Amino acid sequence: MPKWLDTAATAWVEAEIRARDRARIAALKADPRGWRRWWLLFLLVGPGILVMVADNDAGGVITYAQTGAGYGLGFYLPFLVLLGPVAYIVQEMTVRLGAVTRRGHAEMIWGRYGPFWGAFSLIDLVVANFLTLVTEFIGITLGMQVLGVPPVASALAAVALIAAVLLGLRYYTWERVSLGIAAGNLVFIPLALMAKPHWGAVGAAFLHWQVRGGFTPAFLYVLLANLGTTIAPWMLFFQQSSVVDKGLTEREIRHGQVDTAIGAAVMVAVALAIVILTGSWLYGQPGSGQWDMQRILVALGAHLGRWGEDLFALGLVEAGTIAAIAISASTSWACGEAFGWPKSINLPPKVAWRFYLPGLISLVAAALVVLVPGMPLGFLNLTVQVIATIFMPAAMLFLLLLLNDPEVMGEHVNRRWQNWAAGGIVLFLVAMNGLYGLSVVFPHAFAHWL
Amino acid sequence: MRQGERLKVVEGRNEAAPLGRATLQGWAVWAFWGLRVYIVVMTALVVVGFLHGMG
Repeated sequence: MPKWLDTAATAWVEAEIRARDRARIAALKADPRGWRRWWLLFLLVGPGILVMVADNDAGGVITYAQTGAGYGLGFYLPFLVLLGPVAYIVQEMTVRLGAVTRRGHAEMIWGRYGPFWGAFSLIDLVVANFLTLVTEFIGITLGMQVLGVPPVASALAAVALIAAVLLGLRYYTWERVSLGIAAGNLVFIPLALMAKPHWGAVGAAFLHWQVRGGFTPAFLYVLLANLGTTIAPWMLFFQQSSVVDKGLTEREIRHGQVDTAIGAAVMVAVALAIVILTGSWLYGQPGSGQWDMQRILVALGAHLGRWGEDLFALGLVEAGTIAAIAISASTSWACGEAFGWPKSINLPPKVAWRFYLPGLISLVAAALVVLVPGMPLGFLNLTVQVIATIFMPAAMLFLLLLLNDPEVMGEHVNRRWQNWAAGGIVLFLVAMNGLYGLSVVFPHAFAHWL
Repeated sequence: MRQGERLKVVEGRNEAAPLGRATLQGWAVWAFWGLRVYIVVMTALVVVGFLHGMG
């Protein structure tokens, strides 16, 4: 078959499958009364909730748990609440960009700013995604070990499950199955409630915002790790590609915004639950600031009992799984967009094997890295968060440029307050990263500041 | 008429608009240079930080 015919046939298959999903939306929109309005919203939400919950990934859960154990409730509870609107402001822009342009983030950067920045963003994303996937497998194997499953078995099972979900399902079913897995992220909320935290101390954390132990390089490192786990470059690429693959249009931007807001609220609630859990019960114990995840799980088990340790471990496995599903899809979408390959989860693997391949390769490679003995996995986990935070301003700059481009966005360009808010976020990220850099070079100047 | 074509009639445009290369002017040119400098400086600082072992 000639190449042009092959491409045309692929595009036709993709359009037909998406049209089936869109036909259901169109039918509900024709008469959006009563329960049909809610059903319409249910069908249209997905990318926003998925990206935010997947952001509470295994690395995130480990970071939040270590943050609570090392710094208590004092500084990080209010800080995490502030990160909710920050995540919403950033991700909402990808909804508009995707719905208006019908193109993914990688395709937009490549097409609008040329191959240098396109390649820079793609390489940055693929490397960061791979490192992040490693952290997901750390969480999955660690959690399954607590439940008595050896790492080789759990890593292989996770690869098989994620590959099956990506290859075997079409976009709508893939999204719904992923949302079902994402619901498991909520397990940390009842876990925190059942641990009976000191609510007075939780309330006091919001009233007296302070850093215990001073503004040290180690504190800044943890701060960056928390920032990195809340807003990361892969999230921009994932949600925009997801919006495009789902087929959302300008008329569904409002639904996309609601979707993103629900996701941000869930993300913050889960993050708070983890910090409250470890901050209430592990903070202040000798050496808790240096504990790794295994030690934290044992300490939680001592306080909550075996069921508590198992439930937390299960949450860790779920967090790693849902993030690995999202991140491997994000790698595939970005490569497909950059190289002009067929790029939809609606396409069967036989037709779009090139699209699925980068995501699958990164998945298998990450699983293998985790199984190598002696790998400094805890260090790798924090490192990936820091790297993601450092590259985030670059990703944000492209997003802001595109969202202010009337040729691209038409009437949906950023409003003034959105530019101020997003610009403020970029400046904050740059300032925090700069502060971190200075604290590394001049550590004594920052000790006991604040 | 196929489903995809029927839907195009109901929903209007459903394909991506043409995408051309942007012409950078004013603050955008400065922003790109700032980005280049930022990436180099931060990468160097992170390398230094890791070599120092995070105190």
